[in-house]
Amino acid sequence: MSDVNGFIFDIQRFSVHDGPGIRTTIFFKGCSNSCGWCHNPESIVHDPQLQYYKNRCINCGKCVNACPYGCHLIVDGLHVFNRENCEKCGLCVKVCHSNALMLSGKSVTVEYVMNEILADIEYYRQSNGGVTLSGGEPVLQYRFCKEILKRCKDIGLHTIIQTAGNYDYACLKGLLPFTDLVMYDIKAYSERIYNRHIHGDKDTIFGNLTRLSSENLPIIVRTPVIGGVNDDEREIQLIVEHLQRLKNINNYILLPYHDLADVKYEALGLSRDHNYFTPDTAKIEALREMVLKGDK
Amino acid sequence: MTVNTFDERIKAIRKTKLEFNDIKISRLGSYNFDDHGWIPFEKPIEFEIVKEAQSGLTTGMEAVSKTFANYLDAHPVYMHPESAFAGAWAGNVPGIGDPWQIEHRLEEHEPLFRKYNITSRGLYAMNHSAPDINIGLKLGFRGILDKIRFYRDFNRPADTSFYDGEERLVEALIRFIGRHAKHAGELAILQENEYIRKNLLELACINEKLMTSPPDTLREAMQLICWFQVIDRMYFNGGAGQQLDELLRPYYEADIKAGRITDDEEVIWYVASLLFNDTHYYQIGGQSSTDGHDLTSKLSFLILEGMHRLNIPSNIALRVHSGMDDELLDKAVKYLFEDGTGVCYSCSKGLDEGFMKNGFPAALARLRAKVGCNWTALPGIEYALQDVTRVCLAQPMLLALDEMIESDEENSMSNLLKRYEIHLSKAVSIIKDGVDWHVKYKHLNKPEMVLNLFSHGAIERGVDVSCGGVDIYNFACDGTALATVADSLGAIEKYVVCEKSISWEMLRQILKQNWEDFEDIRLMFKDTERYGSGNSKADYYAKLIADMFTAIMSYTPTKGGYRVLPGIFSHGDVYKHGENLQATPNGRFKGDPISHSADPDPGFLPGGGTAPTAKANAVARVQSGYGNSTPLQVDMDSLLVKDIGGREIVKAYIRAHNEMGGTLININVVSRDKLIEAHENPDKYPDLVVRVTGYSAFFKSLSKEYRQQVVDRWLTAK
Repeated sequence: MSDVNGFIFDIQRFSVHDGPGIRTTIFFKGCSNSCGWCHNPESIVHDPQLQYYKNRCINCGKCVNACPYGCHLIVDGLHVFNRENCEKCGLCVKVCHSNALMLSGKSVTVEYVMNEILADIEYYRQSNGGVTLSGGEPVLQYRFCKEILKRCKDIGLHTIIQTAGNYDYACLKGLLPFTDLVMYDIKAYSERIYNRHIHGDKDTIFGNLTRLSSENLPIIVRTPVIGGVNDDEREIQLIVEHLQRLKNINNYILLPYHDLADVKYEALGLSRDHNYFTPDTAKIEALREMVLKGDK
Repeated sequence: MTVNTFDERIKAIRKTKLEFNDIKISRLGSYNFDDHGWIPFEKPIEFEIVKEAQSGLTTGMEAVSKTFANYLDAHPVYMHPESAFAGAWAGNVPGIGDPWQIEHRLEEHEPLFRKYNITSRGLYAMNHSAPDINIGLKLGFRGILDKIRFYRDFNRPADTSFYDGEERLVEALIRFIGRHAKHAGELAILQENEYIRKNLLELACINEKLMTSPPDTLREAMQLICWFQVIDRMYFNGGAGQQLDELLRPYYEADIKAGRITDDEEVIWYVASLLFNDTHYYQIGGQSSTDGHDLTSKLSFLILEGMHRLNIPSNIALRVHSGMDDELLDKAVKYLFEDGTGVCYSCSKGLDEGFMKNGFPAALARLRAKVGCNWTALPGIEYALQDVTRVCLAQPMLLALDEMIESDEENSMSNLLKRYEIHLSKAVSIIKDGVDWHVKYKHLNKPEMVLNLFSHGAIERGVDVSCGGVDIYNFACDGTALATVADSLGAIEKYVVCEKSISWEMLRQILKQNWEDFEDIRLMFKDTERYGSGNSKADYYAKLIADMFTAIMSYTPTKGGYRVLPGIFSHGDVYKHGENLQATPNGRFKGDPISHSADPDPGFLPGGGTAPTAKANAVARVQSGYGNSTPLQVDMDSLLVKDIGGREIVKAYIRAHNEMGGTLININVVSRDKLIEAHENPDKYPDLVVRVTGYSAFFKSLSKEYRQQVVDRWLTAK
């Protein structure tokens, strides 16, 4: 029995877009990048975070009594949440039965995660699916990841790591013997995009990919295409040309940005001042065509 | 002369079907049952309804058969010029829905039925067993008539009313067919369009033949099946078919060999025409009873294609088993994506292994065909009375809660469950009493006139199928409201027992008040770890209650010695079953719908989502395991699974549920946006078909509540 704990924010069953077949995806909390367009903003910070979904609040006031820090008030019959003093103790969450208050992030054991994974084992078997570690950045919790991956391989499950590569390579290398596929995010080529939008180290990310590509493990590279940021041909072409110099890159996928995460930012009390948008379908198709031609 | 292609003919009959649907909605407002093939004729049909002299009711073979025959004689003829078949039906035979004779009613149990909120008693119900249509195909209607006359002479019963009544029905049917043959001939004479004239002449010829002889060709066989469908539906909405591909395969192969069929498009048109006539419940695929080999044939694909091209609410099941034809499954799932719904998936592992636990060999288990909303039965040899008997699993809980709190005994979960078991046993016992009563008196009131003709033994013995006309009797009873009671017990344990947030007495009071002034408590009770989330207390109680129900139902027969097989299924009647149910501790208001079949309530995962695998696991775990179904209803957003990869995923999902012992899967794959739009404006998508539960329906035909039920399932899909 492992005594390593992990810190996650979700376990998603019947994941069909995180690798082949039917999968269970474990979402790790904490990331070494901080992309402005992140569609799981609760994944960026490692620590627990309080989410407040105002539209679910029924103004019952139970959180007012529960909170020892005075973060909740009822003013003129309406709930007001003052996040400044919030210690993320979760006491208000326990009494909020309309799920307006939720705590993102919890510490879990290997056993806990494996129980969740094993519930769907017949589906993995029938669909050649398996388990995907995602986030956030799962590799930052490499010890926990290793335990999960080892246990999955012990029972013959297909395993995937989804990573953005911004960490010491040794952390990833230790996981590779238990990994069947790596999905690696390359979000841009230009330094200015890293500086302005990603806040991650480009050299580290590209360097890790290069080292990974010599490990004889299949890699799928993914790029989120963000309108107004990296949705031009030149940017994508630079990435393609770089990938063509590497081995074991099985596929390159473009993922159009979506703005469905805005409600999550609001729930986390994060301001979001951006001009990101979803590129139109024609633009995405043109970029995909270009990638395909480059593949030939 | 322009000859319509077979595809154009299918489009033409589909267009008529949609037009008929609009007329039905304008007449009925909405209808929450499966779409049948009945034609909305303009004028009411006038005919004599015959009453039994003593009771003044239309009961007993003589009165019922005379009424039925009169209806057939008065019924207008119908043929669609583009259909391969003649005939249609206007509705159930009016007048034969009288209650049973007063001395045959189980009145003393009525207070108990009400006490236990049992709205579908089984007792007094009709059909819901499987015919063997082969009997009709081998003998023809004239042959059946001869059989009746032979056995009436051979058995020499003192009371010949059984045989007289059956004879009357078949004679009336033959006359009905004859009128169609004649009408087709008359229309042909007047018809200028050569290909329609040809079609009408063929219909005249086929039906002329069927008056006196059994069918030889595929088209003749399917026309005979249409006539079976017509009288079956007329008679209390009988809808059970058979394994259609195997039924028709000999005719198809003979036609191919003889060169009568050279284009499979023609067969597809036949299938579409059959379904236009009526959407009886059929199965395709399955296993040979001999050695279990897969029975998929070319015809299985053609039937699927016909269903797909017509694209109306059809009730075809694909039998899933480990050796099934992958191409057939692939095609079925492909059409699921294209049409939004399609076949349901009848899972052999759970069904067959379960049925065998009753002491039946594998060969018989494989023969049991999926020919109803959620059920299977042996064709022509089993009286099953499926899908018409339900026990509300939530009502005993409320009675037990009340009683326990009123009593002097300690209020605890174990005492609550003890009392629950007593009440559930009582509810089951009155159902079983109903079974015995049904067997004793049904044939004296509403004999199974149509089933008798298509069963092995009824005519031979002169005994109705409901009381000795066949050899195998397995009655059925489905539990309902499983998630309602499981979540309720989980919430009680958490908030009353463990956390002591409120007392037992206070809970009872709040429920009686229908949560009024206690919305915060209601939300608290609703916000428990739910059935389906896996390893929750509610999951524990779901399994406990399901197993308890199974044991009580199956371990002892009725007093008359009949077996009753349990399942868990609510049909689409979650509103009806919830109407008289008071507020429940899972946060449900009085009168609100109950949970659907064995499905966890929508939004059952922590955070409010739903994962198809979690749902399937939950339903697999609570299967009763004696051969009756506990279906899984899955509604997937088409964005979630798409393209070829998506198809493989859905196929894997179906196979996995089968492997886990599931019995039936009903799937919809539709865009959530489209569904919500259609709910707000049903006319925007007039041909949107959804699988409500075990049956399909045009979405726009459903009442707002039924549409809401379907939409609610989607809204919580993660």
